[in-house]
Amino acid sequence: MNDHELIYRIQQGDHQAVITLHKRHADRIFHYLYMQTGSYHDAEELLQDVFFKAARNLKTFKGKSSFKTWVFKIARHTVIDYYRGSQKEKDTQSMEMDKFDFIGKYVDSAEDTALNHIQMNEVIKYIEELPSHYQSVLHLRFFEGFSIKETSKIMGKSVLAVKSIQHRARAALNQKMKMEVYDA
Amino acid sequence: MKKKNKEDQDLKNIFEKKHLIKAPKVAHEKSLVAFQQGLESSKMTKPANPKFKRQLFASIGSAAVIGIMVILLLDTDLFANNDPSSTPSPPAADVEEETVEEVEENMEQSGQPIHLNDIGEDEEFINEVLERPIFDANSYSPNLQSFDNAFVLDLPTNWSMEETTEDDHLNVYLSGDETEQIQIILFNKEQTDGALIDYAEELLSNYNHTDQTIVPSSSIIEKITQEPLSFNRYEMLFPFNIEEAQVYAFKNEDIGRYYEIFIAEFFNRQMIYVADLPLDNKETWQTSWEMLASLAPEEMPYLMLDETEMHPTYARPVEGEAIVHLGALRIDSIDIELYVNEELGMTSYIESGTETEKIDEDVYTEWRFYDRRFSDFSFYSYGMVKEGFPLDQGYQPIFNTFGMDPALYNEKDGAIPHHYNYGNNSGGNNYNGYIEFFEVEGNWYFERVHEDYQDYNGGIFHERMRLLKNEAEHF
Repeated sequence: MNDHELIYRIQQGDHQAVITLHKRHADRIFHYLYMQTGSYHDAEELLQDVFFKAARNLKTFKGKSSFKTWVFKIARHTVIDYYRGSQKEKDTQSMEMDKFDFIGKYVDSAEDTALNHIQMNEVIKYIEELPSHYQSVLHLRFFEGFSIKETSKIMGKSVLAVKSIQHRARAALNQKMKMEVYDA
Repeated sequence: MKKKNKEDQDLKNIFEKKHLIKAPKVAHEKSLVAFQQGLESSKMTKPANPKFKRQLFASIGSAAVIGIMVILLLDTDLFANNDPSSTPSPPAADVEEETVEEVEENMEQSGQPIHLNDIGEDEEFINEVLERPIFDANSYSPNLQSFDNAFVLDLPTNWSMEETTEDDHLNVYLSGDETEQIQIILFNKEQTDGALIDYAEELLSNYNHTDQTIVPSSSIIEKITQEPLSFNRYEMLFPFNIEEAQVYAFKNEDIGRYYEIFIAEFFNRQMIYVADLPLDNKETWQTSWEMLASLAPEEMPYLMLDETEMHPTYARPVEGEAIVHLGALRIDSIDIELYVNEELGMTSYIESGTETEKIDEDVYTEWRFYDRRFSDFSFYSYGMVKEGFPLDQGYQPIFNTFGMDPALYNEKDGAIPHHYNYGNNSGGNNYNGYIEFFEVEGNWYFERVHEDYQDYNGGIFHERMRLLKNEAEHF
């Protein structure tokens, strides 16, 4: 059953649909919140806010975008509020690296040999050092698999702006990796 | 595989190696309860403040959470029942709802800072926001006013406009004769989402209010679709994507004022639009929307180039968007790409998807640009004349050179030098066009638009020609 059908059933009062829809998205939203805040505890708290807001506004969901796009947009606004309300700075150092548990080795083309010298966890470390809006775009695009257009909806930016951020993020990442190879 | 696709795939491979960080069980449980509570609370008229929900859930132990879940799962009438008083909610939730009501009331009355992202939907107020009288366009009589040396808006008669420049933004103040006050803030540098909302909230903290609501963009679209604005220029109704805009409304019944705020991206610039209007004069509310929808670039094509990818030789962005006229009144956005012509020694921009054709004749070379999405027979072109071209011999030799019947020449009073119009509406052929010659650094070039009315295309080839010529750089 797809999300739109579940929402229809929720509106008809189907308890199981509530649980199914929640279960389908809770972990991915939690991951996003954790990535944005760097705090396991805060991500737990914010997850409640996201689902509360989503439920409050579910009747306004018209199905023009996917539910996933819509709820991620709510998650993004919730994170914005979190930083504004608490005056917190993102603590990238507190990210629990072991949680990522990356496996495998990054295999790259001959034209970009720099990456072959770097371990996967180092690539991830560089990604985490990027400005948060760069990380957001990369995460939404390549982890969640959102299209440029969907990412632009979630972030409230134009398609051109998202393309631009993605390009800059990629350039910044390449620069960091080249510097690492050079330093080594 | 293209380099960009390869890089995208590489990043996908990296992210695929990431393991999903799952929410702990207790977080699952609490957020499910929050989801459930949100669904219940959406049935109530007053929007609740989720910050208080968070405080509530933080204080509930996991055992209590599981207890609530059991109740929810067992109570099959819970969703169908719209009467909150009969809902078997835990005592803590009842206390919390009461607290939310009290705190909200206090906040509204005391005019404490606004938190836009916490504002919910108040259906009654939304209906009030959307219920606007039919607009009398005849009484509007706007004048076109420019601001920021780049944009224009329709300013009604008897309104005044002032413009001030700050470090990172431009302020445009509009004042009407019915006490209307509108402020447009246009940022020069990209603000983070948080900074933008902070700015809007600081601005709004000056406006005490008694009611507030978020206004769903879908309801605005529905309203304007049913009752169109006087000048419906944009496909998205406004000069920004209304679906991505944040719209809020406030009112202060004590002093009789209504406020509405749009936070949107206006031609790649972040914009906050605040209208402060008389609560009991709804005709002025529609003026606010009319003015907002009238915002447009002063000159088109208006380019928004993506400067992240530059051509390695010519140092110009390889792609972007252009805002262009569509017919006489409409405004459209098109994707554009860099056009490089080594033979002409020129770079410029054309719409993505345009087909080109080179025609090499004895005394000129012409590059024609076709867009089959609009027309099979129409085109615009850019060319260069060779030695021996009959430039100063009048239209007849020129028309002969282009293989056109000189009888098609349309002479016009006050003709532009070296500009020749032509047209034909007989024998089943119906087309018109022009050829104009001009000099750049001692070389003679020409532009041409040929429009065939078998598949009339609303003049878009004139607009595309303007784009090509305006942006042409010869090297």
